Amino acid sequence: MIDAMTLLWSNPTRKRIEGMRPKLYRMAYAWCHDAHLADDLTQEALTKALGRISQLRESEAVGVWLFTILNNCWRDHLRARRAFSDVDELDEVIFDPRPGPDGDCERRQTCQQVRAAIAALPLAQRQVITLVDIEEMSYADVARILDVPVGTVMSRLSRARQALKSRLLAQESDARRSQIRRIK
Amino acid sequence: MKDHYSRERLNAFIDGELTGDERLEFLRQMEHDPELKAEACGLRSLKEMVKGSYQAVSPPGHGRSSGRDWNTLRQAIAAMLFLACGLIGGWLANERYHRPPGFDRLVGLPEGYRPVALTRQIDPDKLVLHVDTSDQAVFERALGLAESLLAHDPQRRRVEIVVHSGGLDMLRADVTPYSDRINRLAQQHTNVAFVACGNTVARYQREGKQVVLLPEARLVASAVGEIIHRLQQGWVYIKV
Repeated sequence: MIDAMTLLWSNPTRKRIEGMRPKLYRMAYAWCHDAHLADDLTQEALTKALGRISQLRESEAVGVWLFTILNNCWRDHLRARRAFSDVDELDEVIFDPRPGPDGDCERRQTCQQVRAAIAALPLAQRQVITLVDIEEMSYADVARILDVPVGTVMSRLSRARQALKSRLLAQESDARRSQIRRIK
Repeated sequence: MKDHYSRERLNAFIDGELTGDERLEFLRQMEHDPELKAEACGLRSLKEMVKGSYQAVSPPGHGRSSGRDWNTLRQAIAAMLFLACGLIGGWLANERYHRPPGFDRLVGLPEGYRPVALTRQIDPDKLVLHVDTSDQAVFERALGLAESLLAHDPQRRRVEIVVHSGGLDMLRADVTPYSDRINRLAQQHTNVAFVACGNTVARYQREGKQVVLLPEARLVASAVGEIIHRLQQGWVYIKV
């Protein structure tokens, strides 16, 4: 009976899952700033999601479910690459602070500065701010995706925005100083 | 910034995570605390910058941004045609259609406006006002209309002012002459919303314009998308 029910709604659900690829990729890119890795993580998350489609409860938000899977893929990747024993360490770790090249954005200095500032944030803060700002997720959904309390989401978000603001302001004043030097 | 408003609560305000009462209290506080208001504007601007900085990111094989811009444009044109069809062939103008129940009860709507609905069942207490020009006379009319509509049954009524293109100026903190009036309206009514178009914000940013929205504004991906969404939910559409 369950299988029959799954079959009944799996096709539209499958389409919805596949339709989430651009959003998953964008989020994966915002976390790792590496186009190839983002593509691999997205593919892995989608493959896992399609394989576990029967585990998706009908009432569950597909977006939250998929971002949770993407987060697990990302953590697995980090564990394999850096051998983190405790994922809480992620909060303190800065992973490759250089955003990758992107043709569309290269011309846009502000865009690059923001991405560089995001890339310089500790991973856990970066995940929270990108889920809240890019995907406009509620704090409760972000807490579910990252498996942390809502209070942690709020404190990480607050710290992330403070750090981002300071960094962008510092970049702005550097730019002004160099402009003044050029004029002199 | 006053101590009893922690940074976390300020962020919660920006992200729409406060309850109606908390939000109202925050708006009141902001009126008397320019530092808090400036902080809120700065954080909102930061949020938009983060969102805007990743909009051009797309998976390999899904086309670059020019392709997506075209798709967005195509969707926008289709949606505007849909709206125009509603306007021309909609419930009010076309006698072939049955007028949905409740359409005569749009109390508070002055003469000269043509309300449009696209569903058979509508809720005459939910209205979306559309502003797409930087003409200040239109801003004035939109705010006057919102005030007039909310004066009738303010508990039930819900009004959303959705702005895009030149209309975005109405909600730009450094451009609009109506920030106090908008703040007052938001304080008096928790059921009024000021909605700004993310596509327009992104376009302004691409053109090198800095966009700082009023703290009362809510950003959505697309104004047209928001309008269509509301119409599908049975809201009444009014072009200001």
